[in-house]
Amino acid sequence: MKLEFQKICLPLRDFSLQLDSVLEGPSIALCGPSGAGKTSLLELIAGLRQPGGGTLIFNGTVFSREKKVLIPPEHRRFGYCPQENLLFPHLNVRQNILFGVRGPEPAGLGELCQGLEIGPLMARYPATLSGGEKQRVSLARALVRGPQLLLLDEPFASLDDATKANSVRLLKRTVERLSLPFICVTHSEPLALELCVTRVDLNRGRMLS
Amino acid sequence: MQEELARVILFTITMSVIAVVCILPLGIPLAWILARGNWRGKALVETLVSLPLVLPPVAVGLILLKLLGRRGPLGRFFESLGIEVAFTWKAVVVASAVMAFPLLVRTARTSFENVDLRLESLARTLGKGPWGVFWSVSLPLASRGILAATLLAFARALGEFGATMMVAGNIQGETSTLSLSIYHLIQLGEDSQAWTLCGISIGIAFLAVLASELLNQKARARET
Amino acid sequence: MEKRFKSHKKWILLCAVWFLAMHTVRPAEIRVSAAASLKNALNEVAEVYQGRSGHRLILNFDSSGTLARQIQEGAPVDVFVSADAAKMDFLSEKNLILRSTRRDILGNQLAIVVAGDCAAVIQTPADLAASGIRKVAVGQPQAVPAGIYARAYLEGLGLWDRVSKKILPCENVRSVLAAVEAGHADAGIVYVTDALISKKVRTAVVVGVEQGPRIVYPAAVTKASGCRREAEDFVGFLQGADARRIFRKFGFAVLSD
Repeated sequence: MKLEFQKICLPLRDFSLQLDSVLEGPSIALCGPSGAGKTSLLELIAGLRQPGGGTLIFNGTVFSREKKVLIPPEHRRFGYCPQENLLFPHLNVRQNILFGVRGPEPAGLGELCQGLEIGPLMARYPATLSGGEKQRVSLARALVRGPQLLLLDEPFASLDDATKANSVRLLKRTVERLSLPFICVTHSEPLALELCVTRVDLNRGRMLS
Repeated sequence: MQEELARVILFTITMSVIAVVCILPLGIPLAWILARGNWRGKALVETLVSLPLVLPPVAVGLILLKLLGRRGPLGRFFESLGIEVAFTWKAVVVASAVMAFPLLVRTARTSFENVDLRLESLARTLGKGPWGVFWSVSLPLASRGILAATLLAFARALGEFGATMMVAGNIQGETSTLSLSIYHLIQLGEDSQAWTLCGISIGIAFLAVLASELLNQKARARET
Repeated sequence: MEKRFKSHKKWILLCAVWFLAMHTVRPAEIRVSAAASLKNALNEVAEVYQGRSGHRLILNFDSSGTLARQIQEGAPVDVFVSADAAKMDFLSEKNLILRSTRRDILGNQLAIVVAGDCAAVIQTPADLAASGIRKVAVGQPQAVPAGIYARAYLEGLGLWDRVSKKILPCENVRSVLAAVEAGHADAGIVYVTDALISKKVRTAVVVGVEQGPRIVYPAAVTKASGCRREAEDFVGFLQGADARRIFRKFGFAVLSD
């Protein structure tokens, strides 16, 4: 996975995100103090925010150049798991997972759900799920479309230690099986070490590797 | 007499339903667009949409008459197609639709504003284009509020008087609505009949608005 | 003692002067509700009267039906001039007018008008039933005198059933005129006096006095009037030579007692 930022600039509330570097590798931890712009950076990669200037290139394809968005978020094929999970309240687990899927059920669905241990939850509604369950459903939803990159924003922040350990284990197992590159925003040092190969720090909009 | 009454009530309800059905396809998407983001000209559109709400209904009726009358630009166009609009039931629908439109848009807009933007953004990352987001996320989540908006618009269309009077007139058997009939009966000095119609008007409007309010309450409860 | 008497005298004198002034020099405000068809003529008559008497006239023109209704509901009106006897009878029955002051002052005739640029040809009343005439504007046939007269006229000719299907009922006779002027209706039935005023309509048929219904404009002072004497004076003026000249100019027939 190779993500190039060429003079990318994104104005935020107090400062601007300014990036002119390359992120490479199978797993990248994005660390930094809160308010550094980590979530905004993830949103920019996902296509939910448009940079004020600069060029974004993923695996050789130009995703945006200056203010022109060449590839909108729905065509970027990135899996995005936001911090609050954000499951659709009007759909059950199965419908949530299959939300982005057009046509028949994909073949790997059963295996994916088994791997994340959410098989028995299919008919339930998000309001009835625990924190850990919601998080894994959010993951399944992002993965079922076979994305080329996974973006995780503080995936285990609100979980207790036991649930967290279990979830980390399941995540690792799943991304290894799918050979899926991912970028994980986290403020937890041990998690970054355990999960990711590369680590990048962000402070007030600037990257330090 | 009972027959005439029933006919007027049925006519008014039918016209209001048609009017609301006509404004839904334009009003709901417009409400969503206005609820999302800022774009050039947005304030202008908001103002134009709200105009029939603040203008005197007779003024709106006058404008419609100028447009749809036989000598008006739209009127002449329709005449060439063999369609008469002014002083027919079609004018009743147009007047009710125009007067109910701002209420529909403003109320639906509030429902859309209460839909979490982040859910819509997330849907984009899952492969939905902007209209896909509207159909699969915004509309379902705002559905109760939209139904409430529709009922409110229906109640408004039902009670429309000033604009209808101007552009459709009060032609017995053709354009006589509930409110026009009340006015007409008062003119004739038939007060008791007028009061009967008045009571029915209040009854229907009360039910429609009550349902609307209850739906809104349910919608708000769901968010918390 | 003498001083006190003198100061009292001053006050009594002032009061007397004030009292007299209030009752002789003060100009009255006479509120007149009159049929819409009288608008132009009565405005001119009112100007002359105001100049002559020093009183102020407040004129309200609308369909006689609406005006009668307003009086019934207690609207402050001093003089009512109706376009038909029925509305005056209505108020009379309810004891809302001073019967002794009621006078029939004017007559009128019906006319069929068409828009100035109208292609349709109307030479006889029967032409109103023709298929080329899509809408005929008349006053509300149940409440507006002009409409009631029009209906009576057409019923007399056996045309009402066919024409009633295409009528455009209007609130008063002037809005009938406006509807024809604006092209919302192909033809309309108004008073001859209205047709004379408008430049945008053509008079197609004038209904002769014998052929049409008898049109009478009664005037009366209301019971609730606060200035009875002045109101009666005005009604009297309406029958005077100056007023009659103006009414004739506008095409009204003047009725002698």
